[in-house]
Amino acid sequence: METKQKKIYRIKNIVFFAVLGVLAVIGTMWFLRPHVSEIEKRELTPFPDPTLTGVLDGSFAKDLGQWYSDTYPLREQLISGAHLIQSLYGNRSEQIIIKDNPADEIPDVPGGDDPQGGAAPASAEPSEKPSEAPSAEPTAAPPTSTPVPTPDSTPEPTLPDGTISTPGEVMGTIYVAGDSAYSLYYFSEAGATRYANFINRAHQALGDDVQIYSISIPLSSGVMLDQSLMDDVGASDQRAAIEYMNSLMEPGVHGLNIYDTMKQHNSQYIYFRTDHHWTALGAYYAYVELCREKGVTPHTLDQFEQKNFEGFLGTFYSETRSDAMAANPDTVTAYVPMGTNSMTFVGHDGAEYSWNIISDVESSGSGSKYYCFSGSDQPYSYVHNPQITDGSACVVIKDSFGNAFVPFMVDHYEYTYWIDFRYYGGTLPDLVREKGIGDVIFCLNMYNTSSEGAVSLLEDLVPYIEPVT
Amino acid sequence: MIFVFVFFAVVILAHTLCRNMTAKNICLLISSLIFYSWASLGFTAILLFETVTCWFFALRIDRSSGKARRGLLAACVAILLAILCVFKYTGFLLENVRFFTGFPQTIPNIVLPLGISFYTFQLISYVADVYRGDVTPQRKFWKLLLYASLFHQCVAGPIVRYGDIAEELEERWVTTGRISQGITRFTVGLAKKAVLANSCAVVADAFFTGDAAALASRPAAGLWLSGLAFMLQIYLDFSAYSDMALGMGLMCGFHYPENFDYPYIASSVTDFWRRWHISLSSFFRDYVYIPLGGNRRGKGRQALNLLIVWLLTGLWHGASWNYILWGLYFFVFLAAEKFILGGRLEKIPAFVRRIALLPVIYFCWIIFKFEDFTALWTVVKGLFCLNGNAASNLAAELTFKANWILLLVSAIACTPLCKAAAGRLKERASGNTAAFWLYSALEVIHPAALLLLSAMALAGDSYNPFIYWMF
Repeated sequence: METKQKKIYRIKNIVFFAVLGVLAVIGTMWFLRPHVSEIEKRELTPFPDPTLTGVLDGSFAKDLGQWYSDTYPLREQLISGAHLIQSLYGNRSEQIIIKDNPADEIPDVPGGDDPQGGAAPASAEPSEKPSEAPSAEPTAAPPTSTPVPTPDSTPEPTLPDGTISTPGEVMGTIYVAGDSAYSLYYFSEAGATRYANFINRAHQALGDDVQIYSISIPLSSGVMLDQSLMDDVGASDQRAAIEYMNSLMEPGVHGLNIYDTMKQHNSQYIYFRTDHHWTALGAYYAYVELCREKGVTPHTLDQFEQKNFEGFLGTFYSETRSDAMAANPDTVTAYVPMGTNSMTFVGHDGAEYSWNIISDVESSGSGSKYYCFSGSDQPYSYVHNPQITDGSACVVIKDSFGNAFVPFMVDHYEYTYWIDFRYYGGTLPDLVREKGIGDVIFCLNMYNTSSEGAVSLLEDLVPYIEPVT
Repeated sequence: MIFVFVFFAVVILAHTLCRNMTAKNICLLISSLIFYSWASLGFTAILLFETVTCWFFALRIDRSSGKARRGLLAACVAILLAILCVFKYTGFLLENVRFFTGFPQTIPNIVLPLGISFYTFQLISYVADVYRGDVTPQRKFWKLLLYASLFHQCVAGPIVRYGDIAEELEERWVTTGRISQGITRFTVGLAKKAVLANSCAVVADAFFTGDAAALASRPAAGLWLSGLAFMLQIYLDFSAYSDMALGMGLMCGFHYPENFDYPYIASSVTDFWRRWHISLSSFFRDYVYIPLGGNRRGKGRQALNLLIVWLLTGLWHGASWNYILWGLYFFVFLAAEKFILGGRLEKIPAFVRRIALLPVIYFCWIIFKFEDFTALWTVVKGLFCLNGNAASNLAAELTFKANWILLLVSAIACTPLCKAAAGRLKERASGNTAAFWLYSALEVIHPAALLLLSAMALAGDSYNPFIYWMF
């Protein structure tokens, strides 16, 4: 037995050191190291710059360790394996992935549903008012065929297939049920109040000649799931939260509450199941609400050319690696603006690119289909619609939810601008003044309109000016 | 990952290739200094300074006698403790001074050097043992530095006494069997940390994060669940580091003392501390409790000695009042066991005592977890729905359902069941062909499998808490 035992030990040692050696050698293959993670939709840690200070204080070593594990050549396969193991931890067909603090109580709004007497109860019905807007002409125009991005002297964008362009977004706490997941909303009074105050600040800075619209986009859970279930997990009532924020906004600001509209259509495909975003159909209903508020006639969906991109597995899938989701991926449907499909954006590198408002992501990875909208999350983008010549202009201040919303704006203005508040370096008053913008539309998901961190970034768009005393 | 697949892989290869003991020791010394310098070159300078001090004083102590000998010991220990206090307790001390006096306005943010609590105690034990004549002082500075800096255990223990490895510093044998044992110990530890402890940490943090206001609204069931997960996490995490240290030591021919002996199956608080962080409790026993008189000077003095030891034990774990409270919590239970319950405890069936101890341990980790007393009190109240919080909610229910197998496996990993099963299988393998093949297959495959599992867990896990960094 002793000889046999020794033999077993010897084989065991060889097997262990062989596996260790193979994994160590793979780790040295720098040329195989990935730079982006398809699964996590983020850029991986870059190789750190060795500085004397960094070497002395240990920060270089720490960053090097982070780079090593973050870009290990087999990382995606290892992560898949890890998710497989985690699926054995318990019954994960229904689960909650907690990332938020518990919600604050939503303060009562004096005056009930419509404290300002401004926004009427939400409805999906188009306004009966006759259209006064620049939409009349474009609606008659034939749908624009999808042009190829303008070949000009600008350098190739870094994300031609819409792969990874931005850091991963915050999804917060999510509730998973079978092949679907939902972002839960936790109200923060401090964040919501700060957002409303910011909107008021923007209103004061831009003056009454500029119309300000605030669309807080409900997260999927509040629309798709029963409120009793939301109560059970301590999630907040999104309708009440929007009402609260809108109640704090000054008269003259158009605070839209699209919650009821979304809820009315929750039997339709208005949110993705495997991703935290809304679908273009969900964005369309918000657009209809905006038109009603503006008193213009919205276009109907059948007026747009429709494009479908199948096999989308979004951020919820990345987070959960759920087999049920993988077996039933989402389909991204996009509606091509009628006036034009050509846009321009200024990328994160500061260079200008010609692009398509709805780009073809057919050949993109399964996690990248949502990038078909509006050039994804670029700091600054714009469209000139040649079908409209009245000089009208709007700007949409948006997060990634706004990407699906922007295409519907294109056929109502000669110029549509949109900025991603997380990356735009300029100020809103300057942009509005420079471009002669009449409508400013904040189109942000409720995570951002209730988060102090996000609002602090928004505040950079409208610098605070000390009142003259 | 870089530690396992670069540092450890290269060091173990280099150590194997070294022909003689001096070369092996130099290899280990260089790698240990690189390990320290990896965290910060400044930290290495502190380690070097403390080692030089101890090397110098130990040689002088060896040549001295009487009061001079005692004075040299006191001076050396004072220097080491002063360094430890400056780095570990200055902020805490100034915060308390500010609380009472309003000064100073700003408190310096002093970074705690990696493993300083461990190597300082190792060096104190060395000079104390030289003073007692228990060990011969090491005349070669680099060998003492090797003892103090050995990367296997310098970060999270065990606290190795110089006498434990003095002979192995001079001569040690690396056999196939020892390497094999070391591999098992190392990979079991790695998997305990990377797979189980880190996963338990996610469950622990599910309901234990946020300020007092946030914690007040957590459902009681969620708090109990997070408390359980934290209890499992802290053992699996800490004992994992000791397992890896012992494993790496065996692969290099060292035998470090065991630091854990399944503490969650202890039958009393006294027994718990014989099984938990054994090297620390024996340090305080041998270098504080017994020198103070232990139980030799009456019960009153014994109680005082115990109080001092447990205040120090609490403080060693962190510079915060909750750690002091944590130490006092154990003092109360230990004093009750010694002075009130006495032998009566033994009359209760061991199974009942083991079960009864678990809530005591559960609450000790609640105290340990929260440095903020308001948050701590909120959680304690919340466990009994005294915050107006719900007894349970869907989040608590789903978190449990999604992790119950993990928690069960983690709980089993805290017991000797797996070790006993492996022992039984090995016994049966000698007379049963099927059992032999099963044993052989498991013995050969499990380290590689655990290594791969750990690599998977580490690759996708940006959440890799290191609980013991503050020590």
